[in-house]
Amino acid sequence: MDALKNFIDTISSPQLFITATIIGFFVVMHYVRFFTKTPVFLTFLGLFTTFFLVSLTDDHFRKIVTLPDNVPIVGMLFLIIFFTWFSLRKGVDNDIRTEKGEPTFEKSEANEKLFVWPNLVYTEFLCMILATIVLLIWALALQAPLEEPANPTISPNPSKAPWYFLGLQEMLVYFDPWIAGVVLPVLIIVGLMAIPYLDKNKKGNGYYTFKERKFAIVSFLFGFLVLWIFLIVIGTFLRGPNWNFFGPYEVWDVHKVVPSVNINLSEIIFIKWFQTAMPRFWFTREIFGIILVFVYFGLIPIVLAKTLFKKFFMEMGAIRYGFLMMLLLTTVALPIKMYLRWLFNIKYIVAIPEYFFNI
Amino acid sequence: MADKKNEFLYNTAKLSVIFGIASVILFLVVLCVIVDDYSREWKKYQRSFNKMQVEQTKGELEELTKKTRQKKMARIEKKLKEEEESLKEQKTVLKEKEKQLKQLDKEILLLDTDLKSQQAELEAIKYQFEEQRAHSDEHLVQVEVSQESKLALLKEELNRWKILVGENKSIKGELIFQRTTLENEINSILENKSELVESLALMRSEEKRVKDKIKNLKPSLFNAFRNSPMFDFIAPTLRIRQLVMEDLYDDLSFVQVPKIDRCTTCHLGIDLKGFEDAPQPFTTHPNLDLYVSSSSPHAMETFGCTSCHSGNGQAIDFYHAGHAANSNEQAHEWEEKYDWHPLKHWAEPMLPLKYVESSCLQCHDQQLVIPEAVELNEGRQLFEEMGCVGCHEVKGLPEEEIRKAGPSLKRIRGKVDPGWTAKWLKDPKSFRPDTKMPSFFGLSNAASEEVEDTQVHAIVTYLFDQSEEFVPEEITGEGDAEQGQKLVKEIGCLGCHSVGEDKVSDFAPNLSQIGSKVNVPWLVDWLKNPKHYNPETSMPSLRLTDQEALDVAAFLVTLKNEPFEELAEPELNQDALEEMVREDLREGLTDKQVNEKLASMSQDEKVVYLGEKLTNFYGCYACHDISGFEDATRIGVELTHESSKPMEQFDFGFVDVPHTHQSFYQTKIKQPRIFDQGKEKTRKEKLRMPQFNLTEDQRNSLVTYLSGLKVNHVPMNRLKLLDEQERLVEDGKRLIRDMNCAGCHEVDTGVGGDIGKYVDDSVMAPPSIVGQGARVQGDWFHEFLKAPSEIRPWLKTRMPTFGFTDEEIDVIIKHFRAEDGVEETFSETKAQPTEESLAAGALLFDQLRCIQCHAVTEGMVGSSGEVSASELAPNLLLSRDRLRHEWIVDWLKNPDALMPGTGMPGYFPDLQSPLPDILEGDAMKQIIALRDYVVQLPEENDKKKKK
Repeated sequence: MDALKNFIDTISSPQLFITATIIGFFVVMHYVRFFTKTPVFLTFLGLFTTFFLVSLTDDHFRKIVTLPDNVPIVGMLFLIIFFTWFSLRKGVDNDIRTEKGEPTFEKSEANEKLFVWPNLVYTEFLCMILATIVLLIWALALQAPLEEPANPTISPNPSKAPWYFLGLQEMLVYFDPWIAGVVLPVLIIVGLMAIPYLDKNKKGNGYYTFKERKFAIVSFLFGFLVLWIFLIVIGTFLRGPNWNFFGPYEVWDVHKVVPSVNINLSEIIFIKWFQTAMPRFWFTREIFGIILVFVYFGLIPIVLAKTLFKKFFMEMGAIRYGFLMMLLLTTVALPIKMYLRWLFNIKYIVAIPEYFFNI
Repeated sequence: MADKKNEFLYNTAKLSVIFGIASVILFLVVLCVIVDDYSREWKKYQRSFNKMQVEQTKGELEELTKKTRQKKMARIEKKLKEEEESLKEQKTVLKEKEKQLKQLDKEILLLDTDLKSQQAELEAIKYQFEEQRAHSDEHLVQVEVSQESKLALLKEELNRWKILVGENKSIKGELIFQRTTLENEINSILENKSELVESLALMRSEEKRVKDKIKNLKPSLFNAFRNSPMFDFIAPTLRIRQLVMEDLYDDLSFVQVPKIDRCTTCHLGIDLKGFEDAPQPFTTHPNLDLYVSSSSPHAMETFGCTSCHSGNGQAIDFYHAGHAANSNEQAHEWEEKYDWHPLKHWAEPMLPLKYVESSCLQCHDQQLVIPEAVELNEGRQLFEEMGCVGCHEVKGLPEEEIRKAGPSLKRIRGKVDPGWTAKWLKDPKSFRPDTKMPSFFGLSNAASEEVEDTQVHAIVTYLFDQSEEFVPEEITGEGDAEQGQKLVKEIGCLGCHSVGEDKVSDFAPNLSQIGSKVNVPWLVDWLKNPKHYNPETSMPSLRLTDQEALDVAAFLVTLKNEPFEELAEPELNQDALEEMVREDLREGLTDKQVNEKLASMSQDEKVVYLGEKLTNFYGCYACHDISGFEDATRIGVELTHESSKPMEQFDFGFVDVPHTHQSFYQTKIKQPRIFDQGKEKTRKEKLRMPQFNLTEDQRNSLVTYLSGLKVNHVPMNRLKLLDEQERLVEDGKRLIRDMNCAGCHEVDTGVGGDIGKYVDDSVMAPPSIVGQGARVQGDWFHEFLKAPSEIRPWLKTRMPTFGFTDEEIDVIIKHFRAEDGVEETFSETKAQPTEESLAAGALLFDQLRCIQCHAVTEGMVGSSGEVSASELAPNLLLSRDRLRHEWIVDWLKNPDALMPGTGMPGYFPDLQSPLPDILEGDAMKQIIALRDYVVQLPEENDKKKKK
C-alpha cells in the first residue's frame, strides 16, 4: 500500500500530472464517442470514486479533503465530471442522429407543449426544498472555517487565495505577478466577452453537438478544464506550505526544502552559450527574448494562416483571426511556460526589472 | 385522454408523496438547527451550578429554620403579645393622641395647599414688579406719572403678599413642631412594640429572601419557559455573563477593542464565598482579598480575567477560551474530558496557572519586589544575578545598576594559574558544584573533545594574555588555621559565603574548595582589602588585622577539592587550532591571504587570536570584565517582548515539545543546546547558550519572568506608578539586595538575618534593621555606613566597611527613612529638656535600673562588664547623636513592638507607669523625662570628666 501511495505521490508531481492531463484531455476529445458511452463513463466514474474512497483511509488525504474549506471543491470535481460527460454525451447523440439523417433530439422535442404548472413549478419547488435540506445539513455538520483576527505579522502558511482564484495563484508560480495577476485575468474576461464577436458560426444554436463545433468545444474545454479547473484542484489539494508541491498522501511539512534556482533566458544565452558577461543595456541584453516573443505572437499566426488555419482565416477575416490567434496563443503560453520552467529552469523569457516588465 | 396524460410529464401523485416526505425531512432538519443552536456548553455548566446554588441555599434555609431560631422567634412573638397586653391600659391616651395627630395632619395639609398657591402668586407679583421697575429705569427722565403710581401700587401689593406668605410659613412651622412632639410621645409609648415587630420582620424577611432565591433558582415551569428556545431572548435565567472593560484593550492587530471577558459565564462561583471546594469551573478564586471581589484592589469588574490570565476572553467554550494546561498530565486529562488541544488561532493563549504571576509585570514593573508575586520576583532576580541580562537585553531594566554576574578578569594573572582556569572553564561544576558559572563545554551539541579542549586552552591563554600584572601586598607571618576557622564562623563571612556545611546564603562563592584555587599571599591581600585586587568588587572589608587575615587565609587554603586537582588539563590540539584559526581568518580574507597570514603567525599569536575570537563568540564579557571588550555588544536575542513574539518565529527544530512560549523557555533553559538536535550546522552556526545550574523551581521562576516580557497595552492610568516615598524605598532595595544586607540583618519582617542561627542568643546576632529609618539620625547613619563604629561591643560579627559612595549612602538612608515614613528634613528634631524633666528623668533612670544593662561611661559594657547575654545593651552615650529623639520615646513605650525579641524590657505596658510617685505617675511624661535625661548624658559625662 505504501509503495502504491509513494508511486501516486511521485506521478502527481506537476510535470507528470499536467502532461498526463493534457494528453488525456486530447485522447478523450479524440475518442469522444467511446468515452461518452454510459458504461465507459460509469466505469471511469466508478474507478475515480473508488480511488477517492480508498484514499480516504489515508490520514493526510482525509485531513485535506475533509477540510470545511475544501469540501465544496470535492463536490465541484464530481459535478464537473458529470456535467462535462452529460453535455458531450448529448452532443454525440445528436451527431449520431444527424449522421443517420434524423432530426436532433431538441428539434424532435420542440413540438411537444406542456403546462408550466405543475410540470415546472412543482418540480422546481421540490428541488428548492431538497436543496435547502442539503444546505442546512451541511451547515450543521461542518463548522464554518472562521479563524482568529488577522495578524499582519503572521501570514498563514500556505496562504491560499479563495478557491476560484487558485488557478491564478498557480499561474503566479510561472509568471511575473503583473502578467499572472493583471494581464491574464483581464484577457480571460475580455476573451470570454469577445467569443460572440469572434465566433459567427450559427451551428450548434439551440441543440447539442460535438462534431459540428469540434474546434470551439475543444479549445474552450482545454482552457476551462485543464487551465482553470485542474489548476484549482492542484492549488487546493496538492499545494502545501510555502506553496510547495505535495503528493496527495504526502504530509504537509513546513520545512520541506525544494531546490529551485531559476534563471532568465538572457542569462542562459549570454553566460551559458556565449560564455560572456551580461550586456548592461537592457535592450541588448533581452534582445533574443524579445525576438522570441515577437516570433511567437507575430510570426506563428501568419504561418498558421497560410497552412493549418487557412480555412479559418478565409472565413473570419484578418482582424477576427488576429484576435482569435492572440487569445489562443496566450492560452497556450501557460503550459509552454510551465514546460520551460520544468525543463530548463527558465524564470523569464524577457526580464526587464528596470521597467517592471517580465514575461 | 391520451392528450391529458401527455400534459403531465411526471406522476403528480408520486410528486406529492415526494413532496410530503421532503417537507417532513425539512421540518426535522429545522428542528435540528434549533436544537443545535440552543444547546451550548455553558448552559450545561449554568444548570449544574444552579443545582449547587440551590443546595447551598437550602443549607442556609436549614440554618434559618433551625429549632433554636424558631424558638427565638416564638419568644419574640410572645413578648410582643405581652407588650400589646400592657399597652391596653394606655389605650385611651394613645387613641386621644392619635386623634390629635390626625387633626394636625389635616391642618397642615390645608395650610400647605393655601401656602402653595400664595407662594405662586407672590412669585408672579415679584416678576411683574421687577419688570415694571426695569422698564421705568430705562427712561428714567421721562417717567410718566401713571407709570410711577403703577410701580408704587405693585410694590405695595408685593409687600402684602410677602407678609402673608411669611405669616403662613411660621404657622406651618409651629404646626410641624407640634406634630413632631406628638409623634415622639406616641413613639415612646410604642417603642418596645415597634422594636419587637421590626426584629421579627427582619428574621422573616431573611427567610423570605432565601426562599425566594431557591424559588428563583429551582427548575420551574416559568423558568423553563424563560429559557425555552424562541423565548429566551426576553429574560432568560441561563445567559452569557460578561465583563466589559472600557479602558483595557485586546489587540487585534488592526484594531484595539475593549476587553470583553465572558469567563464568568461558566466560572460562576469565582467571586462567591462558599465554593472553595466545588469542582471546576465553579471553584471560588483562591485569593478573593487580592483579586476578583469588588472590595479587592483588582476587582473583577475593572480588571476582568484575561488581563492577568490571558486567553480569549470572548470565547464561551472550553477550547476556544484557550485554556492552558499546567502539566502534561492535566493536558491528557483535558484531552479526554473536553477534547482539548492547544488553541491555534489566538496570539495570547491562557497562561498555565503556575506562570500566572508573570502578568503582574504588566503594571507593576517599577517595583523590584512585587508583593505576593514570589515566583516572578525570584525569576527577575535570577535573570539579573545569573547574568542572563549580560547577553539578552530587556529594555526597562536599569542596566547601569545591574552588576555583572562574574568577577573581573582584568587581573586574573595575579589570582589563579592557567591550569586551574582551564580545568574550571572546561567544567566549572567539577570544581564547585553549586557555582553560578554555567558550563559552555561538553554539552549536547559539542564538537569533538579535542576541538573543545583547544578552545578552552585558547580562551585561557587569551585571558592571561590580556590580564594586567597584580602583585599582592606583602604581609609576612604565620597563620593559625584553627584560629582562622573560628574567625570565619564568627566575624560574618558566612553572611555571604558558604563554607562546608555552613550555609546561609549563596550570594557569594562557596569557599569549600577555595584552597585548590588561590594561594595564600593573594588571599591575605584580598581579605585585608578586596578593593586592592578589584576596585569594583562587592566584597566588603571586615577590617581584619594582618594576623587575622593570615589566620583566615591559612584556614581557607586547607579547603581543597582533591578530585579536581587530579583532573588532566585540557590540551591543545594543533590541527584543531589551525582549522579554527583558518575559519576565523576566512571572514573577510581570501584563501590566499589566509594562508599568508597563517604562515606569518607564531604559535602563540594563533592561540591568542583564537582565544579572543572565542571570548567574543561565547560572550564571556557578558559576565566578566575583560580588557578590550568594554564596548562589546550583547550576543543574545533581545527579550524585551519575547513573549509577544509569534510562535512561528521560535525554532523548535526536531524536538517534540508543545509549541508554547513557556515550553520553549523551559526546554531551552534546561538544555540550552537541544534545538540543534538532528541539525547539520557549522561550528559558528551552533547554539552557544551555556548550561546553567538551576533547580526546577528556579527554572519555573525564570520562565514566569520571561512570560511577562510582552508588549504592553495597559493604559497609563492603570499602571502602578510609584509616588515619591515609594520611589525612594524602591531605589534602596536594589542596593540592599546587591550588598546582601539580608545575609546578616533582618531587612524586612521575617526576611534575612539567617546568620543568626550560628549564635546561641538572638542578642548575639546582628541586629534587625527593620525600622532603622525611624530609629537613627541621618547624620549618624551616614557616618556609620561610611565607617562603621562599634555600638554593640559584645557582637563577634562585624559590620563590614563597604566603601559606599556618598550617593549610595544617600540612597540607603532615604530608603529606610521613606520606608518608616520619616520626613526628610535638614536637621533632626532634638529634645528640649527642662530642669523638671531632667530631675524626674534622673530619678526614673535610677529606679528603673537602666544602668544594670546599659553603660553610661565610655568603653564600658553594663555596670560590671561581666554580664549575661540577655543583659547586653548599647552604651547610652551614643543615644544623643545616634538615635532619633522621637524614636526613643516610641521605643520606651513598647520596645518589643519595634524589635521583637529584644532584651530591653517594656516598663510602660499599655502606658501604665510602674512608678506612680514621679510626675503624678503620668507614663507619657515619664517617658519623655527619661528620654531627656538619656540624651543629655554625654554632656553630663563631659562635665564629670572636666572635674
